[in-house]
Amino acid sequence: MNLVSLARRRSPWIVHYNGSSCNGCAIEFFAALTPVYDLERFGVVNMGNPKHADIMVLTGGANYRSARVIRNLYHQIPDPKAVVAVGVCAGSSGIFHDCYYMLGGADQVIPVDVYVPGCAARPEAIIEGILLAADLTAGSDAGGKRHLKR
Amino acid sequence: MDLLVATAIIGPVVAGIIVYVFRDFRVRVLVVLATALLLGTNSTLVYQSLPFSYSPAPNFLFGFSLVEIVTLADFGLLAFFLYAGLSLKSRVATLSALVQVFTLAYLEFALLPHEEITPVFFVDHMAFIFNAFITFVGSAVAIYSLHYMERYRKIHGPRKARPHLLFFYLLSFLGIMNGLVFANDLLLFFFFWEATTLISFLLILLTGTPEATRNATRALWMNLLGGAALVISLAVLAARGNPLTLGHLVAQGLAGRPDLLAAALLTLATFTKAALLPFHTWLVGAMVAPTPVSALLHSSTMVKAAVYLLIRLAPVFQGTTIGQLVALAGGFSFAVTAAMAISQTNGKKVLAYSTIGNLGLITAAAAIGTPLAVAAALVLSLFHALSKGLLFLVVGNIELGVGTKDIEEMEGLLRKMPITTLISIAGMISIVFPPFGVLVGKWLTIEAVVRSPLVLLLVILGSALTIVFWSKWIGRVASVTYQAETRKEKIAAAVLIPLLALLSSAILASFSLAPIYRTLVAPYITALYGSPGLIAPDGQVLSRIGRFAPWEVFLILLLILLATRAAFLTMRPVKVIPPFLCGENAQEEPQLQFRSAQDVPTEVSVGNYYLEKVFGEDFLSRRATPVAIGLLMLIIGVSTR
Amino acid sequence: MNLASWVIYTVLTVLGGVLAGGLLTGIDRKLTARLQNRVGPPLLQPFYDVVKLWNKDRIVVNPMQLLYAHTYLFFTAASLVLLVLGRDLLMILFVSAFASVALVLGGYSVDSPYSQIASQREMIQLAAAEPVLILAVVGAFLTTGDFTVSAIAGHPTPLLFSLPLVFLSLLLAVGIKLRKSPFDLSTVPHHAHQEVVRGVLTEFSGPYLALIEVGQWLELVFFLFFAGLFWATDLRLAVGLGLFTFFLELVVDNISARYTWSWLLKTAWVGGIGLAAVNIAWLYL
Repeated sequence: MNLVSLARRRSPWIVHYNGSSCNGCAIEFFAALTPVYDLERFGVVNMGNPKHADIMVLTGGANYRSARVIRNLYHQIPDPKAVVAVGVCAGSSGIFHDCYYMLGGADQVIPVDVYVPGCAARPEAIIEGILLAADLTAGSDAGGKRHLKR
Repeated sequence: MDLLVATAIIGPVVAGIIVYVFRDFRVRVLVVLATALLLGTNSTLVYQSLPFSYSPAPNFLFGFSLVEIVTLADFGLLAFFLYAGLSLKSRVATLSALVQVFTLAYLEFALLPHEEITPVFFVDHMAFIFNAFITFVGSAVAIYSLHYMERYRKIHGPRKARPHLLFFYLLSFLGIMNGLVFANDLLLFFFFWEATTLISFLLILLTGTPEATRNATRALWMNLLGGAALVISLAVLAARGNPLTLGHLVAQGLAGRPDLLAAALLTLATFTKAALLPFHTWLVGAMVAPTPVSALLHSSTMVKAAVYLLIRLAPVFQGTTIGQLVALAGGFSFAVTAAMAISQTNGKKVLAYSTIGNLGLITAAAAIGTPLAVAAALVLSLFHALSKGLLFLVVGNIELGVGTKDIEEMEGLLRKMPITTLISIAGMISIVFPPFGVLVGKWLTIEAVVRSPLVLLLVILGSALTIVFWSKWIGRVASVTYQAETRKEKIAAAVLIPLLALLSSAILASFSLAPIYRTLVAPYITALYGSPGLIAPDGQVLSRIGRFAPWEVFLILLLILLATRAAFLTMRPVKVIPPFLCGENAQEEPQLQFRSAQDVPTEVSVGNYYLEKVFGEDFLSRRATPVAIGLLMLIIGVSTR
Repeated sequence: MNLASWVIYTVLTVLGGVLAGGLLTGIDRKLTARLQNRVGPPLLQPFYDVVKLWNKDRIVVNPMQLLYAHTYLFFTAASLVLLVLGRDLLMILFVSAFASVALVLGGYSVDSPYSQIASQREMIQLAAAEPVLILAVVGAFLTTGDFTVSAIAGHPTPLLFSLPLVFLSLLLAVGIKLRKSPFDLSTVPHHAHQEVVRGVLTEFSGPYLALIEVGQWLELVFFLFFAGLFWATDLRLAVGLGLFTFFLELVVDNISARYTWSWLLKTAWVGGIGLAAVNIAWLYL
């Protein structure tokens, strides 16, 4: 493994966006950052800024209003980047799937790389998802396309 | 010798009269260029024969001696001031003019036994430093004004612009300033001092608006108050049997028995002319005049006349309580005006406050009076003149280009007027950051006042605040609206050449600080104190307690430029994207917008902190003015002990 | 000093500064995590971050950002080099202030509300810390009679003995300069605080952000070096004092919330300048 991909694997910075959800997954995501689960031991920092991020963590599904925000944030992340959809809502809009305002899962708006199941998703699962996404960024070239797709 | 002095003083005045008589643009251009050339050559010749003195023959002109002519002119000036004071209904001005008339009459006819004063003119290295930047900055301002006043006339109409008057004043002003720095005879000095008051009054009055009249009146009464202090000081000197020459005053100081009352009164005069607190309001008010006026009043002439006198008097102040108090008052002005400048949105007012601040700093250094302090004061005067002159001209150009002096409205200027903006950024960097001369002067000042704790504290606070208001302004003009297209800027050669001349001289002079110090400043200080204050071997300046090598920081600047250039070539940005707006970016062209909570596209607008509650002009002025008046009274009071 | 040794000193200082600064930042993050009862990132984490950033896509809001990032890095490096070369401490402070201003201008150069607000705050931080730092230099001068670092470092007794209060005020100023809580108004390096997103750094990304990260390592080393000067008689003690400063800033960082700008200005000007002034006053008397 070369230095660059090692560094990418060890230093995934995150921007988190919470769409149409019950906030359960968002809370679980923050739980993953707390001392109990300590995501930072893997070099993960929640940056809150797409321009510094490598990985976009989405909780909740996409609706008509939030779609453009998700798209905008995604485009502001410099390559290489990966997207983690946390919970069933981000995956397929979950219990909200019938609502008139829903577009569906996050993958209706942007390409998603890792789906973390659960309602709400467990912090352990979220950590695994983020690390999987970090591996994906490590495998791709700077400025290039992402290789791996599900 | 007589020719050199006469050319420096009378040459510009004659040129001014020609411009006034022949009201034609082409004549004006020719005369201004010729004057610049003449003064430049003259300064070079003056440098080659330094130091020299000159006394005109007793039957100087039509059988009258110079003293008689000057006396007559003095009373003429005072009569005009009396008239102006009465017609503007300014009690203080009228009263000060009356005091001056009586004191001068008493001095001339009762006290002075009409002894020969020799030499009448004395030109040494220090006078030359001032002469050099008066010539250089003055010429640059005059050349710049040629084009500026034409545009100003088109915008504001001929009634407000009156370029023939402006050029008459500008050019004569140069002659008067040369006279002021060459004079050794204090009566002659007084005449030139009052003449600068007159011309600054007329220049502020130029546009004739009610605001201009009000501010000109204020400038008049404050400066006349200083004039009164000056002439009383002369009377005190004469009454104690001293010959009225600057040389004698300095010699007394060096011999350790300075005439403190006279020095304190002279200090009062310099405080009015330099617009130090509590007299700061006139200089800020003077900003209503067209920009070249402000540039000339501020950077090279008028206000520098005051610090010229103070630096001359440095040996008088050295080691005295009065010197410490004057330094304190200077440091106080520096700190307070730096704070006030933070709350200003008007660019010219920021420049005005920064000028007052720098004059305060020079005052503080001069009043400490050690060789190192005098070196600091001279370095500051020289570099401040170059950078500040440049900044005034640039702001004038911006004002004509985008129609505003407001700093907030200069947002995105880099795209609208790229050349002017780049020059202005460079100018602002040259006035506050290393490795440029003004900062070196500030550094020397801090090292020079290190034994006077209160002054030191004020200087330190002032320099921190100075960085804030300059950075704020640089930031605002350098701020670039996302993807706004860069316009090509049309800039007239008559504007660009003076700007570039001032900028490159500020940079080059900072780079070659050591040789400039060796050839210009060190001879004066050595002649005065016997030691040069600073040693300047090639590439660095060393004092007994500190050292600085400008080339090291210049090297870093060069490296930064090279590295940035290399980065542009090897790691060029592949994408230009809009700023982060929480994902709610709505539209990028022509103005950056975001979607608000009501789902409405809303313009992004950004602005500076002005911190009115802490640094507000009125707030600080109300508190600082009584303190400053108290300090001045203390200075006069202590001197009468 | 001839040119060759000048170049060698410069290169060694910058390399050493980058290594030490990166490691110290790693230690900072590890210790912070331990203080919060976490495992924390590996010691080499800052290096991973910078390598990763260096290889990210190069995006800007406007190309002027490159100039500001380089100016910040080079002026910080220059202030450290000048410190090691033993130049005039006062001038070194001005050089390092210019580095902060480059960051301010970088924040200003884009139309982003977050970075512009943070630029204002960074400027207030500058105005708060600068007088205290200059007073510390003045204190050093009054004790040693010289402004140059080489002379101050060569003084026979430690500065700390004659300048205890100045050192306390210096700790305050260093906290402000390193943007540690409670003085982290303008930007926070690696915490989850997101009040103004990432402050002045918001719009810098990829390799340009990496330049600034490295600059911040150098800034850390610079200020610890500065603090270490207060016990320069013995190299071990100087390093110890620097590390003590580092640890203290770190603990304070972890136990305090963020100030507002007016509190910051009051604390620095009343507390910081007050402490330093009292100490300097007794040196005069």
